[in-house]
Amino acid sequence: MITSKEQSGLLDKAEKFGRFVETASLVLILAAMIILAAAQIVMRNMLDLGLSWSDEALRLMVLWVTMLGAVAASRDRRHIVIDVLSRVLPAGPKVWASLVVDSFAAAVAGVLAWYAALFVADSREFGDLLLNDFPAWPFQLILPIAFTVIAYRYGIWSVRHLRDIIRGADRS
Amino acid sequence: AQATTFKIATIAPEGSQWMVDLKAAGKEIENKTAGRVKLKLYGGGVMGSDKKVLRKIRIGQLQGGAFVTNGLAERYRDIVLYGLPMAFQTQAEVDYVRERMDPVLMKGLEEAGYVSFGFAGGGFARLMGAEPVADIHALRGRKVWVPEGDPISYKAMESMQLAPVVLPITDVLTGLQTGLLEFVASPPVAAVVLQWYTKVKYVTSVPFAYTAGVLAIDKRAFSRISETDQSIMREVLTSVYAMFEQRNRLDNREAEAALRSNGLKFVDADPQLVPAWRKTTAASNRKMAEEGVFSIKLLDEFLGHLADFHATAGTDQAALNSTE
Amino acid sequence: MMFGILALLALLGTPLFIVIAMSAILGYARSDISLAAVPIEVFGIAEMPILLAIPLFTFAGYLLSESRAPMRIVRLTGALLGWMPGGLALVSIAACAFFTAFTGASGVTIVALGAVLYPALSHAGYTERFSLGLVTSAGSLGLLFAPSLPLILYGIVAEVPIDDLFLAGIMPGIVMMVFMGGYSLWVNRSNRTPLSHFSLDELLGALKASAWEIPLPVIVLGGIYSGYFAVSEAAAVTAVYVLIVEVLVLRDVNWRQLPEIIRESMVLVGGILIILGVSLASTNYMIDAQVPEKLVEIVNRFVSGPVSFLLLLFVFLLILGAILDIFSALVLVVPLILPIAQVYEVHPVHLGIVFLATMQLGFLTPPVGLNLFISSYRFEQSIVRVYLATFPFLMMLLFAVLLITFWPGLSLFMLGE
Ligand code: NA
Ligand code: NA
Repeated sequence: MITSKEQSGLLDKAEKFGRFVETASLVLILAAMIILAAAQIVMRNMLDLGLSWSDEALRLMVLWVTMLGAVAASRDRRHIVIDVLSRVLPAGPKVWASLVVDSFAAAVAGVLAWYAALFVADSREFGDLLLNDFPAWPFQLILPIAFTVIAYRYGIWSVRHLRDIIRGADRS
Repeated sequence: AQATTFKIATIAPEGSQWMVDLKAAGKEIENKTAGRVKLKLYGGGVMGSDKKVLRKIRIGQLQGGAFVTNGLAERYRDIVLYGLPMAFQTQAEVDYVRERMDPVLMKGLEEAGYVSFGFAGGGFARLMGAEPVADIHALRGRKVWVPEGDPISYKAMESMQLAPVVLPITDVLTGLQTGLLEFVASPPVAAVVLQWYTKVKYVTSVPFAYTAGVLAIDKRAFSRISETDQSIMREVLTSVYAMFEQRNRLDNREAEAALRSNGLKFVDADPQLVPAWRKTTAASNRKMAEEGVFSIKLLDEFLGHLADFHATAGTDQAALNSTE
Repeated sequence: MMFGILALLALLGTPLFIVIAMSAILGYARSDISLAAVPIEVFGIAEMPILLAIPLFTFAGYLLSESRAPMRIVRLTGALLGWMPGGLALVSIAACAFFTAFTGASGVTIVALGAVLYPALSHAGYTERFSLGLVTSAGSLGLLFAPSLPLILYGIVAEVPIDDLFLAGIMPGIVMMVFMGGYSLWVNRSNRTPLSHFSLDELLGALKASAWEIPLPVIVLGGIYSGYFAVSEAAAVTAVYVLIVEVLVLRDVNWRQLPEIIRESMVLVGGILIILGVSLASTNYMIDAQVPEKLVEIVNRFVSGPVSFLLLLFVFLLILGAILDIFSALVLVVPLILPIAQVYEVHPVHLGIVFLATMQLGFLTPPVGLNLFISSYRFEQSIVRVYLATFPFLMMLLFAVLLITFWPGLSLFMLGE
């Protein structure tokens, strides 16, 4: 039997690990972007050379950084919001509002993830290409992955709000 | 029956002659089918790059697009044949080969899932940029545009030790404006319609590649309308594309004059160097065919027609004089 | 009905990219278009060449704000302007504008420079209220100066040359600074003691201390205008340069801090560009449904010419700025108003400057004034107090924006048009 304390310890570890993976991938991709963009300038100006794949690769990295950044923003609750109403709501209704908002976000992100997966599957089936002759789908895979993780994140938030509501009800 | 709308994307800007003609064709189709078939056109590249348009056709958001031939290579690889770098030199060569090969390519497109209505030649792409270029080696280290999804032109440039920049056609103007691109190859008429000429000063007169446009419509959507309506659509759009073909020839001359009157200067490539460039690109083209980027069988057929043309038309020089 | 529910969810704090994605989903579903159209549009982020500039400039800006560059910039502007009466107020304005241009109007300026300037202002005898208002509102200046993020984003969305925007922003940006500076001098006309006497030694010392940062604007602007760098290349050079200077040469930032700085800056980039991505989908739906054409027709009924259009635009943007942040407003609204502006022959570059200048006021207007919140949090003041302190500055900026809106030449004469 796993006690609830051990369980939350495991969850904490999973959270920490997730955060580490996000940060590490952001660091790697941004570093690759800076190095590639700088190398391209040096090669072009000093060696009169270019790389056929560098422009497109840089654009793909922008997409990856965007999606990973959006995942990180979901974890840190740092997405851009208009929280006019929730600011003035008293604590009681506020937790209900948060539950509605976060489960809605989870659902929409889930829909996005599903159709992104269809998009990638289609792209694979039709043999779309990127970077001259690479299959496109592995580069597009970040879309369903990121939207899935975002949906998961808002799912977790929703569960927490629900727990708070139930605990609040228990206490009263 | 319910009306069927074909949603078609094009890079031709709103208000341009190409767009006006396509819209007129849409009206004609609507009238002749008593309103059963409509065309809805999205101009100015608002639907995105060729790749994006192809994806949207795949999911049924769009039913077709007006493409430059190479833009369809992702779906039908042999469509690149006419646009092979430095393969054609004169309009007479083009006319001879196209008479024999247009049906082959249109059949190939149809097998790939796209109904088309003939090719509209856009003329020869010429190199344009901020500086005069007589020798291609002056382009070393410069940002020369290569269309996205066109590995053949890319390799051809690489074979001449150039470092091209890959961008979709929809981003060329932005690229020229922001310094991402310094040189583009384009037929004069396209440079005028797409406003690229406002960002360049010199044109090098050597024919860099032949360009052709094609309207490709999703076969699944096309087969959903009645046979009568299909033939009406074929008839109207084929005549529009034949008209584009004829008018582009005149327009290219007018556009050239327009470029000159806008202060653009025309320079000639060093005539001693051109044969060497052609040889290098021809070798690079063949290598791409050998690697399977497009059909080597069609390449040989293409080169065979060219050879026949030169054999029957006497000297190369005569052909050169007859057109340029 | 659906729209009402969506609006309510937005006001309750649903992430904006979710709201916009949902509106695109509803739109496509209503027109029987496969929802796979949404990811196709989001993938469009990988097809916009200039976008590369955004993560690179943002990273460089965050790195600068984590270094001691803010202090060096304050010292340098102090040595240059500190001898004037009211000098420190002017120093604050100039330093904030410069810093915001580089850090991209993300509120970083208030955090990075406010910590230095706020105590200094109070110490120099400015009232608490004036100091708070100045630091809060000066943090929004600099939006119109290269290479500010919103300026680049407008260029991308409106497909306007970014170097033209960089030029066009200079005079309007200066006008805003002059209005705020003039007001500061006038309010403090009784506080005549300058911060310090002019000292050549101090100026040379400050120059020497900032020697590594001074070339930055030259690299960015000089590189772009000489045609040597594309905007994205200038961003790459800036990122490399700032990284080398702050981490290796000056060692202001320890390399162990880099992962967190990268994460922080990319959270901002992800937050902005995911909104851009989903709004490509909502815009595409609107184009598919020919909404811009219909909008032009409607506006045409109420508007008779460029002046009344600009007036309507001004009011509209003022309201928009109060509820939407600048980045979301840019990607959502610009594609819709651009074709309308075209009808009234408003130059797209002028439109961009008007758009950003008016939206800049949004940083200082409740309820979503980002700078108000950051300032309230950073300086531990109640939000109402921050709002009252900022109000006179907001009024000055409002006058400046009116001038910028109705005097197109102010933006356009640098372009030679
Ligand atoms: Na574009
Ligand atoms: Na939008």
